[in-house]
Amino acid sequence: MTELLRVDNLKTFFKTYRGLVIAVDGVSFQINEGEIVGIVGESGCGKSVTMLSVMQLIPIPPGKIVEGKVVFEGQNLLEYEAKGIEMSAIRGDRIAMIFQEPMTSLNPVLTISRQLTETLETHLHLDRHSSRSRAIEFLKQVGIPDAKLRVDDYPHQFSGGMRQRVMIAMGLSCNPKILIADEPTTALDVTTQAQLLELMREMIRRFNTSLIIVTHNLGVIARYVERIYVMYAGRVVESGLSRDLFSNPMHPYTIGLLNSIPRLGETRKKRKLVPIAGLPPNLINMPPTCAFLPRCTYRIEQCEKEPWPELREVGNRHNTRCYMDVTGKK
Amino acid sequence: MGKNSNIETFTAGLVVETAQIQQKYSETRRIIKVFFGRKLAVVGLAIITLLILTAIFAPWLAPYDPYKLDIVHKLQQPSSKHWLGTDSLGRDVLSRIIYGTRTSLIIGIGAVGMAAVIGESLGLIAGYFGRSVFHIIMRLIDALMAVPMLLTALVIASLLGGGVKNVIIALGISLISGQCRMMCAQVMTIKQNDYILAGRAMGMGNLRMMLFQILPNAFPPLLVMITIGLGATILAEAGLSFLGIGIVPPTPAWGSMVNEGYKYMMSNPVLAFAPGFAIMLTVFGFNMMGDGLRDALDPRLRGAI
Amino acid sequence: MTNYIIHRLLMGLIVLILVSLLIFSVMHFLPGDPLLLYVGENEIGNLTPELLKSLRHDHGLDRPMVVQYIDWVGEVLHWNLGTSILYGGSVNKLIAERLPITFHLGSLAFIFGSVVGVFFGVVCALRRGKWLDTVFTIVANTGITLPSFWVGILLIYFFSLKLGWLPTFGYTSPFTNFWLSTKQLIMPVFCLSIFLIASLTRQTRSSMLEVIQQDYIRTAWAKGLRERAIIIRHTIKNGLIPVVTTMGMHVSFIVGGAVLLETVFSIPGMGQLMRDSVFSRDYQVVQGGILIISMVIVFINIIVDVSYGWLDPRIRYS
Repeated sequence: MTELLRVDNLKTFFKTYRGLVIAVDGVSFQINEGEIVGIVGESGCGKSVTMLSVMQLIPIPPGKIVEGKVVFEGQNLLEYEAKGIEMSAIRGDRIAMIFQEPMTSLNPVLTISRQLTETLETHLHLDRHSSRSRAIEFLKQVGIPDAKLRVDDYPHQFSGGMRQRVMIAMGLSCNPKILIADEPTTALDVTTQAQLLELMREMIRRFNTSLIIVTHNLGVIARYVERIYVMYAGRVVESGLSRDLFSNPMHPYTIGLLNSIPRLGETRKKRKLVPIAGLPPNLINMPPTCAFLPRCTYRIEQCEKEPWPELREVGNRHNTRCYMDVTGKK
Repeated sequence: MGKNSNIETFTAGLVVETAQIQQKYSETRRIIKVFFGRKLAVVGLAIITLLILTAIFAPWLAPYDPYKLDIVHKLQQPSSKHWLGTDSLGRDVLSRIIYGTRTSLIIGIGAVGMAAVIGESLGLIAGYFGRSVFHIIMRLIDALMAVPMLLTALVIASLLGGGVKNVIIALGISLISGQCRMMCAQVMTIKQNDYILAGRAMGMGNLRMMLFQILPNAFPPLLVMITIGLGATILAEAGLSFLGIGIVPPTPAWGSMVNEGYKYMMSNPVLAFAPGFAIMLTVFGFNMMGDGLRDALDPRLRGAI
Repeated sequence: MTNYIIHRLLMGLIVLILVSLLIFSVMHFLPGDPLLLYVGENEIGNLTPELLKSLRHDHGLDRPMVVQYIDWVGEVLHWNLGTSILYGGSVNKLIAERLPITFHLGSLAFIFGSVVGVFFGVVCALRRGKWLDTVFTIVANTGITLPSFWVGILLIYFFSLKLGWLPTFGYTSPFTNFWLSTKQLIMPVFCLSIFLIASLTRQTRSSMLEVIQQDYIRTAWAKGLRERAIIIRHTIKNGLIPVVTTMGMHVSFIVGGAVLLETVFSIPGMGQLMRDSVFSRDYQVVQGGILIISMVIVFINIIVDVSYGWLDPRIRYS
């Protein structure tokens, strides 16, 4: 399998009046052709910021990408200017990204048609007529009924689920190599969530695009992703094939996440819903020890004395950032 | 049931209020910090403080009596005796400008105060009750706004006669619509919040809701509006006295001083320039302070620089 | 959209009726003898009480207020706004002569001010924090504090009296002498537009900055659009919509400013008429003048509202 994107030791900081927020603290991951990868973590763990850094969409005055490499097709993207033509040429065309809020992610004063065709015209240099036909075609593919009529409507005339479909169409319209979906279904109801994920999986297969799904909901992506990276407080704490992670989680946080997924069909006697105690960490002035320590129920003495460990391998492509061996613990 | 649920409601209310107060305390500290972080706002505050002090201590600061005529020494150029020269009746220009501060500030505060009380009460009622009450009040306000502010003040001031009190009323009336509209918009936004719903669920009466829930939350933008309204009022007052309606000589008012100086522009430009500069400085001070307040009180700017 | 327009027109009508009520009440209820509407101040002093009473009866001032109001409205609808004490002729004629002049002055100031103000505001937002933004923002912050009449006097001092480049005062119709007309209007139009430029710069800047932070702008970047396309197609279009809503208020300010500047520059427009007639208690003129001015402003507000409704698709297609 060819490697498409490799992120090496990415660090992104934010200067706020309360202090320096270390949002991404040395994150590394990679994705190959045709893969579906999941990045999982709770709010504020840095997963969205990581993806935005890959696309260089971080607002630069408060934010700054301080270190790291984002190697795409052999080229380190961070060497390009954030607002320059090279990055613009890659965004939408080679790597596309869709976002969480369908209600606000579309421009309210432009038609759907215009918002689709402008991407096509910019990257594929199509003329008005062909780009419009292609736009209609894509709308059909993502399941918008009466695409030909609705293409001239405005965003506010679509429901949330439909808008997200439009976003997916926009993301895939130029056949990018990678599609990054940042919490694509979080703002939608459960039924629509399922529909959208199915749609995405189908579209990915059809166009041989790789997909990175960023979410806080492990349960949602269980069926779809092949590999998972679990993030906490700006770092990857566990990574591996999804079946390994689900059957044999090697980090207390992952165990916590798995335990807090409600599952249908199990009676109360068999399984309690166990949330992870405590609150997400404050990313300013972090102590050098493991960030999960305050909430960890498996802690040992080493955790409190030593700094947060590096990732160590515990299986086939299965890494964890923990001193303990939590095999078999639940 | 009865007694217990009362206690529970009461306790719940207490908890909510305590949380609000605690939040407000640290909020105040943050607001002050952001406000003083903005240089222009501090400059504005400094200017206004200076002006207020000038108005209060005018008799001690002014070198001469602003009313004292001295025809012999009329129309003198700025000199060491009269820093800004004398006007057509020999009065010291600097003293008249210093005393003019009193006129402007009194009129400004009076007019804005009046407009704020009336306009914001109307806005509160209109925004809170909505529907027909809202429509009636808003149409009246629209009608008031259909006449430009200066014209309204002009006509009312001339009908009532001149003098500080009448000018305050005239300007106040012309300002009501702006204050009312802003307040109404604020109230309608606040109304959407859940704590209003909670209050109603606890059985809060309308008057209490308006006074204790909505008004305190509308207060920050209100403050901004009032501060900026002061700047606008001072400009309007200057315009009125420039036109010869409102405050007339011998009362020292910056606008009428510009009017007088207009005639002597060729020989004594200072007569027209100096009072205008005073107007500018005052309005600038209020506007910068208002801007700074707005930035400091804007909850969306929390955490950003 | 049609509903929207009809609704706005209806509201406008209601407001106009309320305005006429307001004007009428102010004129008749405030201190001062309503007879002043018809008879000069000087004359009243000389008249005996019986004569005063009969004069009041002649002008229908002893009838109930409601009847007087209806009569007046009737007259207005027949295009009769009364007679001027000061000028002698009909108020209609006076207004008809002067309204176009103020309209000329005001619309030039409005167009010039809007274009410059919006341009500055956009530049400020796009070059946020850089020196251009700082300069323009300082200029704008100063601009809203300047008394327009004072600036007018300053300009006359420098450009007319000292340098002799521009005429001091007066107005000529552009049809009579275009060049002279232009030279005469440069300073007044500029003064009249200062507040508009400054206010629009600030508002546009702030509105644009808010738009820039919106999610859909991030989407536009994520789609790989070039910066220029994002600015023009996405940012400006959305940024201008809130600014349009303030145009009604700005027109009102321009009319108010016209009163001041026509006095400074001796331009025989509505502004000067209002000032003179208020000053000399020529109340029929005041009444008629304010009525006409408010009609114009209500009309302009309706146009502004409809434009806003048309520009924002959420209103246009709902």
